[in-house]
Amino acid sequence: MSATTTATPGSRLSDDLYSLYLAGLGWLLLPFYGDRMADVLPSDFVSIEPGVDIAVVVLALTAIWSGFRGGPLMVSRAGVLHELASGASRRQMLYPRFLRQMVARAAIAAIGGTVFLALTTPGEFEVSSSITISVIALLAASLAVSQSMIWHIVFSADSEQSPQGRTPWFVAASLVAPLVLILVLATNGSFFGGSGLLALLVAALFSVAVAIAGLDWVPIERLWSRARALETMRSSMQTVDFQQMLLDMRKVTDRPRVVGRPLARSWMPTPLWRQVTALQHGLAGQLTRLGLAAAAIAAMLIYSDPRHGVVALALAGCIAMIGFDLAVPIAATADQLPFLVHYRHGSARVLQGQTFTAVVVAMSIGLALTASLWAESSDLATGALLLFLVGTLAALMQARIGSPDVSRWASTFGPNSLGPLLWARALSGPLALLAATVAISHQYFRPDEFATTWGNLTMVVAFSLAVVTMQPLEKSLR
Amino acid sequence: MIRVKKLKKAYGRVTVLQVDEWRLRPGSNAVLVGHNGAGKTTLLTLLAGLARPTSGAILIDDSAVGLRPAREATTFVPDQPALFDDLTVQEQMLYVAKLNGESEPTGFSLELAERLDAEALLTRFPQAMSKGQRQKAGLLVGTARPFKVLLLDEPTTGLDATSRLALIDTLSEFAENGGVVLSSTHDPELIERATEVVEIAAGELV
Repeated sequence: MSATTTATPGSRLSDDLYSLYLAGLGWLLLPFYGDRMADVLPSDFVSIEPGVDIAVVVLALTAIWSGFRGGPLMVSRAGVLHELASGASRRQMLYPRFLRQMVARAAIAAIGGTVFLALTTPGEFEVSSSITISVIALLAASLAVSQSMIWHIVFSADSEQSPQGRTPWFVAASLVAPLVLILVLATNGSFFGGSGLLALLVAALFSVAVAIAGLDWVPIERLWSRARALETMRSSMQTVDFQQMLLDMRKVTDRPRVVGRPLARSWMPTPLWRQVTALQHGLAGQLTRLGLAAAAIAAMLIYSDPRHGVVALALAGCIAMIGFDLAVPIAATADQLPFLVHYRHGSARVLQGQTFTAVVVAMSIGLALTASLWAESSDLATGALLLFLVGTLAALMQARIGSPDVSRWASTFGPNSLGPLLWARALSGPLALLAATVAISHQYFRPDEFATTWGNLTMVVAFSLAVVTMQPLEKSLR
Repeated sequence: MIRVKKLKKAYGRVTVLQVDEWRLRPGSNAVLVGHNGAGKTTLLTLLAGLARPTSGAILIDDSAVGLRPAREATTFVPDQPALFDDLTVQEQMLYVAKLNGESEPTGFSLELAERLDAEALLTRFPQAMSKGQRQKAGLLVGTARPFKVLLLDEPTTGLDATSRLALIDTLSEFAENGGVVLSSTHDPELIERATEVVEIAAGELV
């Protein structure tokens, strides 16, 4: 065999430089669009620093969760088999991939930071002022990716195969960065100041060093199963098999399997039984997530004004999370591939029941939260309540992407028409949410302005979208 | 060469594989047989270190699976070939060999290329290959680095008759020279030439 040059898949400089070029382009262009967006989502924050400080700590803590769910790396099957499962050094093989992940996410975070600044200070945006926030975002993202890697090793390392990954020093080292961040905030510090920024820099660099040191002990079992799911996902993307893509995506992100049915009881009405049977997590996990999202919403309603565009958007995001959580059972049902069997003739009533249950729960939470605001500010209460409703509906639309009306559509218009339909449906949820957010931030739901043309039009668009997106399902199943 | 003790693999409450004690000595050309879903692939991925046992121990060449000595001794060729899309077969073979400290692919893989009549594939990319050709490429890349234990998941699937027989001959010779071959298969000819037939039923060795 003649000698050939081989390119290590993890060291393609031209690819990396091109990514860097795109990131730079984004960093320059996106603030411009962000500034224009600020006209649609008005906001007049006095200070964004406390919010950014908290976001940095939340990001670092989220990385621990991400580590538990499989860490930041994705390696192809060939990579796992021929590079990581062979006699080659795992650190040597994973080092370029880890750095690439970190640089990519850090670049995205830096751009995101600039856009955030443009959104929160409309009309006053300057490139020079965006540098600090971009640096903070960049460091926070680097730290988060490293932490995710570190905690993946801590959680997943096999004590026999990679004993170092479980030693006390490694666990202690993994705790250093989160503790430094919490310490900065606990001492009334801020990452915007010189010492805060230095602490963030040290924490990020330390995390990167610990993560690289631990790369030799990365267990490959999850990388293998993730690689297999990725390969399937690639082929399902090529064939626009949206439902299979959703399934694969679950496997790629190590979404836990159904762990039990803590609430389901045989005496329950069928729609309610179906709702609670498909819970993907334990009851405690479900309630914790709902509780956290509800607490965040309560904090935003009490301490800030939803008429600020960014607050309204964050509020909508939290509400969508609640909506998604409540819609999980529907998503889980739709995930089943032989869905025609499960959604047999006459099951429309069950699905309507699920929808109804999710909406009722969301509205109950919304009512409880907004009741206290009602006396002082009926417009805010109305707006918040509407956000709950639209958020839940939007999440339900998302959850029903794989629903059986798709099969009806395919048999009527042919399989090639499925792709656009599914993408349109996938987009309709966020669009409905955004419409409601804009409507509220522009105070269209104030009682005195309720009758304005724009207010009515926005409301009609949001609800029409909800009705149109959901109607075909029930219709086809009767 | 391969020693398995009190091995168990379970997903939640469902146990998919349970092996009390089992070993393969150097010179074994063993086949795993059993119905679909019996646990053949699970056992192979456990031996290859690509899945973690729920309990129990696997030693390869006296080293725990997953540790470097065991990784160096073992190579695995899955039923769906694992290939780098952006490298030709020849480049992949060389890359895999170099990763493991060799300047050239093993003599085993080069001879296999000749016997499988796969030399024309060496300069091609995997995406432009048929199923059988990909299978051949997977075998060549998988065996391009030094190994003592060769694990194969349905290795003859998709191969033409001549190539099948050539592969079976090559595996037998490797075992006769002191290596260990373990293949999961439904191929009667591969089973006939095996030195040991290991039957798995419902996750247990029969």
